[in-house]
Amino acid sequence: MRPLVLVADDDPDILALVRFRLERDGYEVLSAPDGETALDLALARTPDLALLDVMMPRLDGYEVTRRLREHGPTTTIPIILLTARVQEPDVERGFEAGADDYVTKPFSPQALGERVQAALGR
Amino acid sequence: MTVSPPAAARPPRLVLRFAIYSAIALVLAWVAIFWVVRKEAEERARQDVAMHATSVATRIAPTLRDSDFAGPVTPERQAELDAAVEGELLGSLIRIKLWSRGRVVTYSNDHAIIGERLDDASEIDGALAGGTVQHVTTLNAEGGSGEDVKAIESYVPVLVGESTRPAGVLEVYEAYAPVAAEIHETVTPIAVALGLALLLLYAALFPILRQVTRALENRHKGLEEHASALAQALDERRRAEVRLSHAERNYRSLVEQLPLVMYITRLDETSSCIYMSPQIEEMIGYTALECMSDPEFFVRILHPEDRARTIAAHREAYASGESFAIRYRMLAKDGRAVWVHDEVTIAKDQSGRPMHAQGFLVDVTPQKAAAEELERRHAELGALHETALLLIDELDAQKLLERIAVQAGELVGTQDTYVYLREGEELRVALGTGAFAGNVGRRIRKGEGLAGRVWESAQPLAVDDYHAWEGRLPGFESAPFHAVVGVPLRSRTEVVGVLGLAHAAPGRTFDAPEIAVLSRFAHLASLALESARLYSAARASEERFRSLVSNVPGAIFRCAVDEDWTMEFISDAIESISGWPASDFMDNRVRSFASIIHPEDAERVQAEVGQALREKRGYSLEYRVIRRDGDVCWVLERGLQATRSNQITYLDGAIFDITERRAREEERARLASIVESSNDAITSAALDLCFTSWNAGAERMFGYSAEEVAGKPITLLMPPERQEEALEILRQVVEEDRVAYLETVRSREGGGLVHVAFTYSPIRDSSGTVVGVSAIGQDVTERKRAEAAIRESEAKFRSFVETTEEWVWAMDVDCLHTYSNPAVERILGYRPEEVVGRTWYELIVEEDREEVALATSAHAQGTEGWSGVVVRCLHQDGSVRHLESTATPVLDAAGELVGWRGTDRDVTHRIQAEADRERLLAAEKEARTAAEAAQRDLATQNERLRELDRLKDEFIALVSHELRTPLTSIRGYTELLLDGEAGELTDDQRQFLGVVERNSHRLLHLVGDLLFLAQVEAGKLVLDVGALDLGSVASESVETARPQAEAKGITLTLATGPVPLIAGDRARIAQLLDNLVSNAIKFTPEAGRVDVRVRALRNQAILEVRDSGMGIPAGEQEFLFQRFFRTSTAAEQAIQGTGLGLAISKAIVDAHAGRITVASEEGSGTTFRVALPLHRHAELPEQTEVAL
Repeated sequence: MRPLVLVADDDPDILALVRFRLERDGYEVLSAPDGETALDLALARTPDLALLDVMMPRLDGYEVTRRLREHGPTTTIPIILLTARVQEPDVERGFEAGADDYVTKPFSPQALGERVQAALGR
Repeated sequence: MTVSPPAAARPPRLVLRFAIYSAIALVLAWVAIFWVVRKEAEERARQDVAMHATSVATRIAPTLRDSDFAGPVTPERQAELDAAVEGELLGSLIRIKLWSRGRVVTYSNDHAIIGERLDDASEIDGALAGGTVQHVTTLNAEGGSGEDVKAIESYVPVLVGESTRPAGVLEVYEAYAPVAAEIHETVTPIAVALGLALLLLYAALFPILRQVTRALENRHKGLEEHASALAQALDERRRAEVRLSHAERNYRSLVEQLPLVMYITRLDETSSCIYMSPQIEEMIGYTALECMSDPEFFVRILHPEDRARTIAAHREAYASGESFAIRYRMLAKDGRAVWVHDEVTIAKDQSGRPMHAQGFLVDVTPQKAAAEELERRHAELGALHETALLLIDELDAQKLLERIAVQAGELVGTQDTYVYLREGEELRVALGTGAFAGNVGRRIRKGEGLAGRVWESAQPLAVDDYHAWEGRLPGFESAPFHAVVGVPLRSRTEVVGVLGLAHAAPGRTFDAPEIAVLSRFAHLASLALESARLYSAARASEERFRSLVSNVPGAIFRCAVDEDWTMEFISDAIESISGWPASDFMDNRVRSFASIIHPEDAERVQAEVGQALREKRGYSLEYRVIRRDGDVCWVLERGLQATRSNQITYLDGAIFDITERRAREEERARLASIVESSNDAITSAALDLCFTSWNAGAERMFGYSAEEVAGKPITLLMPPERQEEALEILRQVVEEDRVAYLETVRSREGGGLVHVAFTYSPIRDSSGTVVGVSAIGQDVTERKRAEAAIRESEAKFRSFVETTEEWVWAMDVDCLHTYSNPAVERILGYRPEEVVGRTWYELIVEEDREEVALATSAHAQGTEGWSGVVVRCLHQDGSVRHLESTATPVLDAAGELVGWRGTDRDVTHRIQAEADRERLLAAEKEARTAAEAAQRDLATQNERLRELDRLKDEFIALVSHELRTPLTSIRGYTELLLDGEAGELTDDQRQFLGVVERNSHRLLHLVGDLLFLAQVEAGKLVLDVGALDLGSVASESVETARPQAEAKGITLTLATGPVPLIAGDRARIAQLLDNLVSNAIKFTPEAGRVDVRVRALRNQAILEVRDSGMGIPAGEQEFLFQRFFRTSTAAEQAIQGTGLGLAISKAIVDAHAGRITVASEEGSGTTFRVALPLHRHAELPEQTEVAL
């Protein structure tokens, strides 16, 4: 069974890019265009990993991460934040919210795939 | 009088009359029009006939021959002609005849009278002359046969062959009946139509006529009734009168039989007469009717001497009602005085009220005859006297003449009078009354007519019957008078005119007494005329005098010698002098003349006039009068005593306004006194340059007296060597007519010279011509001497001032330097002449100028100087000098400030020392204050900074997100393509995607740089400082850049000495090194060198990156570390870059408390040198090997 990855980003191009890469790498991908959808999907489907953009409408990446960590099934899944923010405080904030890793935009799809793979411990 | 009433005639039947008249008029119109129409028709018919005849003649002419007109035609020819005319004799044409030119009938179609000659046939001649002649006749009037009917003959000329001359005449008879029928036919309808039209008109007219005539009738009837009423009234009155007169006649016949005059009068003022018996005529010549018709009659005929008495007596009796008797004279018609005895009774009515007076008059003249003759003389004289008085009173010549005529007429009882007056050698009728009214202007010569003879003889002349008189003038044949008398009017012995009178009534003549009275009257009249003549002459003279008086420029007066100078007369000119109208002064009506004399002069006027009167001489004096407007006016009064026949003394004189003259005189006197009292020498000379005037000043100045120089030449005063100069100046003054000045030297009397400043002016006469020269000379000897003394004194002070150490200066109120001593050059670097003409402000440092200007103007206000004021001035070399200034005000003669004088001392050194000390004190104090303030501000600043931080964070996050997100897509997808995720790529595709990838990388780098700088500027650059080996970081950077260098064939070296650890953020220092190294490679041409060197220098680590590139122009080096700055060479050579690299590098160095510098030489390369502080506890690394 293929691992299920939730990808959330408000930019559909990036969403499509990530989805393409991950599907090529053999993942099943759930995509969400905003934080709220991402949270709903994650709570409903309990993905194996979540890739969350930080700056999203309605709920940002930090908030989604924080809420996912509050619920049983998703408290343990690896969460990688995608962010255009590279300042130290931003990174710290991500980790405080419960993220496992972060990838700065722009990123190389190849590199992203490697990070995902690493996070899933495969 | 009988008035017969207008005949009560029956009013005419106007309607009928108008109807008949208009009917007749209309019928006449109808007839006239009908006649004209008929005439016209007849004419037309005749013309038709004539045309018919002409056409017949034309038609038969070809058949005719000349022989047919030569004589009676032969029977054969007759037969031929009969046949020819056969066809023409149709209808109304009933006969044709041919006539020879000799009036012989040559052919007739009825064969009658052929060969007969008719001498009286004048129509033939008419026809031969070319016309057609017509005639109404009976057919056989000229012979013929058959039925004799009415016909129209037409004689037509006949032309035979080519001849233009008629060979004979053709006569055609046309029956009249058809013609008449045609006329009748034409005229009848017209006549009928016209008749009808007129009838209609008549019918329309008739009602109007009726209306008009009825109105007239009514009016007529009214008049008639009025007339009959009037007639009736008159009739009744007449009957009443008849009854009355019947009764009266009975009484009258009784009264009129008595041998005395009975009368009845009304009780009125004039005792007007109601009845007078006819006997009165015997008594006084007037008829009873005359007495009764004039209400004034009784008064008029009363003898003047008795009139008042008689009337008074009557009036008294009328009032009392008592009867009385009185004797008095009446003037008979012929002028006689008739003494009458009058018995008067007052008649009363039944109630006892007086009704009228009645009485009788008895002629008592015979008793009075003797006395009367005596009294007549008196009466005559009385009349004459009265007349004379009347005449004397009249001064107007024309009115006088009228009065003479009337009075003379009254004397003899006529109204026909005339007066001739002499004009040269003729007599002229000056006045005519009654029958002579039309003769005014008529002239006669001596000896002509009655008046001419009277003149000639100078004696009265009476003619009893002018018409029978041999001397009667032509033109007087039908003169309406009979007796004429002429009496001479005499002036002394000479006849000056003739008074003439005439009686119109035949038989009335002038008797001797009358002529005598007239002669005496004439004498009186002559006197009166003479008097009138004199009067009018006097009046003309008076008018001349009056106009003279009113035109004299002064006021002419006559006044009494009293305190008020009461004016009997003063001419109007006084108004223009005093402002008060002349009438005010007449008899002191409004004001006395004395009241307007100036109080200060009044006494003098009284005294001087009094003196002149006592000495019986004329006087002339000047005094002031107060004008109406309050002004004082000078007048000149000239007067003379005049004594009238009544011994009253008057003053006659004239007053002239001399204010202007007086003012001129005063002005002249003033000028003269100025000249005389002047200290200047004022002299004048005529054009011959000899002195004409010489004042006291000149005498004092030159020593000569006026008498001594009078007439002497002006060269008298001139030293010989000065003469030419003075004469030239004078020539200019005279010839060029201008004022000239000259300062020169003149000799004094008795030796010695005097310095004189002369002003020469031309002297002009009233016409403006230059007639001399005036010279005003001022003695300037003293001034000259003083000037010399001043000069000497000034020289002394000058040398003192010019050698002093202090800056001595003078300036005017505007602070413009007027003097400066040479010391200024030592103090301010300017030469004295550079300072003079400059204002003080120009020398003062700019920021102090305003303050100094304020202070100076305050000093100027107070007219004061200043002392020890320190002013900062600019030295010529630009340095600031402190001058201690002291000044005193300079005042002019009037005490007005004109500037300052003062001295300035250079106190710069002292001031600077003071300033330094003060500055130190101030700095210390300031630092303390600042520290306190900083403390205070810290909290708020922190707060603000935090707020700014937050904003900055948000901004940066936003920008990085917005820029990085699209870049993520670009780079991600490019990578997918390059990885072959979308299929294999061709080499070209791969190459192109490589370009995209590279540029997206550049863009990413740029975004990173921008964000970095933003962080730096926001103070958000947080260094992760640790002990750092600069050499290893440099090594990594060089290795990273090596591919880049190799690509350009550039030799890249690294030399690392033993460098202690520095305190630094590894990532940032690496970024710094990357920037510097890649920059160097970028700006170094191919096959160049880039050398990186790391070493320690004292307590610093030195990093140098040297290239062999193009270098940086010296002028651009200072901008090198600014954001976005790009060198001109980089721009020229299109080397890519954002101009952010060096700015970031500097930021990093600065953050590490280091220094970055650049040394460059254009064309040979650039070296960037970074000095970084060593780590505090750093020591030199143990390893000291030299790196590769």
